[in-house]
Amino acid sequence: MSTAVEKSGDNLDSALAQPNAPILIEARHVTRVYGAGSESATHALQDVSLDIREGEFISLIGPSGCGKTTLLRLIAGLDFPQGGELTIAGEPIINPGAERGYVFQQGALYPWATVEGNIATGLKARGVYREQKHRVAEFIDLVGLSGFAKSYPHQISGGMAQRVAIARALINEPRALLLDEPMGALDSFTRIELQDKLLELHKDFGSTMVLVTHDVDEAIYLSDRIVIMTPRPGKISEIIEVGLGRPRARNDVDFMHLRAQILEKLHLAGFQPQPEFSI
Amino acid sequence: MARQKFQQNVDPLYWKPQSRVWYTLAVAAFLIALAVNVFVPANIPGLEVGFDYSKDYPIDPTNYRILLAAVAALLALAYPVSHFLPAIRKRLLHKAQFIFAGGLALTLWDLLTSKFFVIRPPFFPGPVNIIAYVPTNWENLLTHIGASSQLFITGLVFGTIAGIGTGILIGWYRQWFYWLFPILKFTGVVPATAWMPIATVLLKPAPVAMTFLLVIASWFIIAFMMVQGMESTPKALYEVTETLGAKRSYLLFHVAIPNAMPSVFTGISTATSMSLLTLVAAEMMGATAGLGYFINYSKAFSKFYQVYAAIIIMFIVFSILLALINFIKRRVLRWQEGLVQ
Repeated sequence: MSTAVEKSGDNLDSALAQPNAPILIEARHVTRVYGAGSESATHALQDVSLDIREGEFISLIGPSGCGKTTLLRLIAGLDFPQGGELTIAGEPIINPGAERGYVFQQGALYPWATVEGNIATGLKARGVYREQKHRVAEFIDLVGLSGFAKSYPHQISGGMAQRVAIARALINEPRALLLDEPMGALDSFTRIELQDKLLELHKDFGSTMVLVTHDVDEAIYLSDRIVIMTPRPGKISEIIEVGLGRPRARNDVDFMHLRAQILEKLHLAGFQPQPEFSI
Repeated sequence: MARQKFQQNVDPLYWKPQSRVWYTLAVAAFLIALAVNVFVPANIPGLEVGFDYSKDYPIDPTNYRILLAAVAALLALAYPVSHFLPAIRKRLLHKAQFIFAGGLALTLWDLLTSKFFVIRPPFFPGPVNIIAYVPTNWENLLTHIGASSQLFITGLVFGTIAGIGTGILIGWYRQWFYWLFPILKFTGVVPATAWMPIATVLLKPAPVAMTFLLVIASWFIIAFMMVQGMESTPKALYEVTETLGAKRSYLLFHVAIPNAMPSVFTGISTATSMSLLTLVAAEMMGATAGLGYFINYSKAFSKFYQVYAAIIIMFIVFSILLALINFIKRRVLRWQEGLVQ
């Protein structure tokens, strides 16, 4: 199954975004209700079905309360569905596992551990630290933090902290990397820098990436497909194939067009001039 | 102009670190203290040896004079030496005013007690009497210091181990939480000294009873802070660790316990002061050794110079113990350096 994804190197989008790549994560009629039974029950997800292909970069986008984070947490195994089922490579998802890396919005680094210690956690937790110790330095370099190995999380910037969080998840070589608004708290310069870093890592590792985001531009810039979700109850309203070549230009006409299209679907397009009739 | 001058002179850390005047005055203060002790005649109006103070009342001023001369000489010597160590010189000059005040205070104390007897023995001995006494009974004092320190350290170590142990059980396992936490909450309110009569009757010999008191003085607060520290662990830290492939035991030892460490050390600090309190109180009541016991029997013989000596020794010994605990704390919580708390 994993042989289906071949790293072709130069022509990245054809390798990673193949529409006929095998399905890695499958959600079937997933329902998640918080406070079920009471009057204030919220339907975070209702009857959501989604296929995520191996090696693809997929974004979940939508307003607050549309259940995008809930769906991501369900895939991670951090939460459980009340109805429907989720599978990864055919296996049902019950618990969190190392093959599904997760990156939190605020990084969730251990404040008592250095950058090095944070990144080494996956190896230690799986009991392979002795054999694979050398990989820690490799991953520090990979996210561009050489020289910060001995720094503590409070001594580095928010963007650097997110890089550590990403490296910490990637050192386990997960089949899927789940990103919960990892750039939500960053300034726009750092954000763009980190987006490029993510693309680079996606290319190098070929792992499936599932990104939850509020940012339409970010979704278009990064993804192969964009899943638009709507709230109350949370469900998928549309899935858009981005279909732009890589690398992408943010001021490209097709890019702008796609953005306008998505914003309209989210009812965020703002003032629309009335069409005038003229002969 | 004035503003500029002001900004230039302000050191962010030290107060007047350039002033030589205060340093000179500090040396002078100790020389004055020495001169006062040597040249001012002692005027004993109607005090009877054997009634107002006992025959063995230490009045030999030699030790006091040696001490004053030594301090003055050390200060005088430190000035040229510190020329090569700018960091130490700054600190030294910073403390100069304080040293000066210390010298003056000694002079005043000496005048009021041993010279003019404005405040009188046996309750108010002079610095001469205390310092004359200490070396004559050095071995005896050492055994008391040893007994107190040993008791304190044993009590705190066992209390910390027990506290962290029960804290982990309560903080991690719901069954333990259910049964132990209410007990911890209620017994933790009772001061350890309240257990003293029961402990001294039930536990023999006396040091065992005292260790028990010290253990419970520190146990509850440390256990309580351990539980609190573990409970304050952000959920995201557990979750992210699980997605990294960790088992439950890994979460305990590598997430919950490290997260509780700052809180545990707050508990240990509180436990330390409670332990010292309990230690002295317990020694005064039910011990046959230790500084608290020493104070109590000195009082019984009206030897108040011994009481003062014991207080000064306590100040030194307990400061060293606190510094030791602080050192361990800084090592364990090294990651907090520079973090605004």
